[in-house]
Amino acid sequence: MSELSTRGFLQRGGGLGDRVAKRTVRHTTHTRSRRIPNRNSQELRCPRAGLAAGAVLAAVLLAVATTTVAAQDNCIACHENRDFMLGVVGDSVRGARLYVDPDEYTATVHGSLGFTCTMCHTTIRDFPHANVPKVDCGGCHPTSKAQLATSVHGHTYGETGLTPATCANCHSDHHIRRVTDPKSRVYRLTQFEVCANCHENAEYMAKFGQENVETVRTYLNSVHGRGLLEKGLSVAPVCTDCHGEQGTGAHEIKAVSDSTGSMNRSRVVETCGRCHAGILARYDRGIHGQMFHAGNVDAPTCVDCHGEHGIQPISSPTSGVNPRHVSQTCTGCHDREGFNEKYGVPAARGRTFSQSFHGVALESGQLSVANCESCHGAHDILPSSDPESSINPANLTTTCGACHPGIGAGVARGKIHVVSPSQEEGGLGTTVQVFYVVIIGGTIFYALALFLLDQYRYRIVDPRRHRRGNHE
Amino acid sequence: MNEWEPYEADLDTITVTRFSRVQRVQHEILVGSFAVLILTGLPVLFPRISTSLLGGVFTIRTFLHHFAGVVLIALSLAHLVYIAFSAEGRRDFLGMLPRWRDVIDVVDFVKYHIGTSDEHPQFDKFDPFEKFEYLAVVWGSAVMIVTGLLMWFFEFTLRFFPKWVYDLIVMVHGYEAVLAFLAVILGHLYNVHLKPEVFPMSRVWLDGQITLRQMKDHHPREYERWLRQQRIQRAKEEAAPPAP
Repeated sequence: MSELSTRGFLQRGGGLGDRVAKRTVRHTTHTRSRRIPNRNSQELRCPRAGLAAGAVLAAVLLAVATTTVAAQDNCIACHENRDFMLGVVGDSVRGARLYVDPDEYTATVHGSLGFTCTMCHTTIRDFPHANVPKVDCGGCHPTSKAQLATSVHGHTYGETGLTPATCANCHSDHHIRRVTDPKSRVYRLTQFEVCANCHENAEYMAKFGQENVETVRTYLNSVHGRGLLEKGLSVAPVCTDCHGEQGTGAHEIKAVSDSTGSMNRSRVVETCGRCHAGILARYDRGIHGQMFHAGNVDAPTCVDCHGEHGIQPISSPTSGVNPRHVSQTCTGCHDREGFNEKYGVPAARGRTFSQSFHGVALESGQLSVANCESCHGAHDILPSSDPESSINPANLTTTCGACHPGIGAGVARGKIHVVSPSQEEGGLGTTVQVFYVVIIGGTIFYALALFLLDQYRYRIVDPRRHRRGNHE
Repeated sequence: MNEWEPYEADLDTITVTRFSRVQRVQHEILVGSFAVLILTGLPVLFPRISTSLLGGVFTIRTFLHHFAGVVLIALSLAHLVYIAFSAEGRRDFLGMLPRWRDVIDVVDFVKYHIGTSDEHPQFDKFDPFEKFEYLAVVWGSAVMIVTGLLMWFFEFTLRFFPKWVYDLIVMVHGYEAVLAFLAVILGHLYNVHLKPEVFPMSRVWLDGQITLRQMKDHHPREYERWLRQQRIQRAKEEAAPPAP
């Protein structure tokens, strides 16, 4: 039977009890002209294409409708009645699913186009329904279906045989609206709720070997999530912006471990760069970006410094790149066992910083002092040997001068991260150290000697003299 | 020349001025600035402990340290003027300079304390230890002021010196601070305040007064000089005709 012949969606049919039938007659008669304008408009549109063609099509439609109407089930007659559906299946969950609100459906993307029930439920032809297989959205949405099949959601898990998410899990079944419709389940501002349905369900996630059920909550507390919720920004990134592909997005979500996934280590930089394009350009210029693109496995990507779901603004005390924490973040690699030897960069960066005036002041809460980023830069860090580097000796007066105007060129002669002053050039450090250790030792000796001499005289010599005087 | 001497009972009641008011004011300013400098300076050498103890208070540390430093510099300049242009200052400064006699005094001091002699060492107004401590303060202040200023105005310093020299300056400032702290806490506090003769504290730094007995016992040569002056004074008074 052709699709046109299924256009019996709102047509009355028999075969049901009188009570139900009567009520439905009133209801559908009333709603026919009001709710389904598309059916009429489709007929009205025809004359615009040409009066003759329109007349022919109208005649065909009418003929088809009248010939098939007797064979059609009037779906809505039963399915709009919640109590009836519950009575039929005797299961409140299934019953609720079988219930369809015609007003609600008419407002959906499919309903507004005038799609009838059997366009999706293609196998249902008679009553009672013999065989009700799952609706295959791929008939009309082949691309989405194919994309979903390659994604982490559409992929069948070997041991369980389960598919994590179907079309309806995200889009709902009868309430599918355009993604731009604020009432859509996958509308940007509320999309996270759909994701959270499963991703906050520990039991369900465990079936697919996922333990982390905090991701959505963590995201909502991040700079991205707060941009969405607090600031109401439609440009704030939502789950599918990062986890899906640009443009086509949501259907191609891949596991982070999947090398083709947008959140895989190999692609995360590019994914963040979709929005942070200027930062990406700087990152590519810096040594971290250069090494990343050269395939180095130690090179940090965005998430290594900024975090993932819980990314915070730099001003947040919980951000890994907040002035309070940036040195720990950097030294996570730069003071790691064997790291500095491997890349030939100097050791003890963390200690030498925290012992410096900058480090001490920072520790005490003066956030305006220099941290790693102040001198080395953030995304475009370059080794000091690079003439472009902010810490190239030739550029130091400019870099330091940003906070210390007019700083002398002497700053470039000597180490900024002083590992041990005694080993500094000139060899004077050791001399100074020995000199002071000796005279500090001498001072202690001097004070101790005075004390002991006094004590000796008053506690030993004087009592002895006293006793002798008494005996005489 | 008469043979006048104060009565034995008067030795504990009659006092003479050891520290003049000007000297006491200088000492008190030094105590204040030194205390602030130590409290705001030494913690930097132990940042972990001090920031956990002091927390946010630490942020005004630099300001307080610089402020106390300026006070110390002003005091030092005032002291230079004082020892150069005041008779009292000049006299006491000369008394502070080391002499051969100090070596003899130290030997006598040791002899007395280990019991080989019962003769008190014949100190003048300033015993060798007091001289040593005064000169240590002069030396220490000079080093701390010079290195401190070079650190404060390091942008300027680095125009003339390389960074590694600056690092040495910082190192010297730190070591000298430890030295000064120990010298004051261990040496000066004990030698002047906690030692048995004056325990628990000498009052000289507060009212400047010292009893005749303390002067006679600890500064015999100064006492002799004071006695001679008194006798001359009395002789003059006796020679003068009584007022009608």
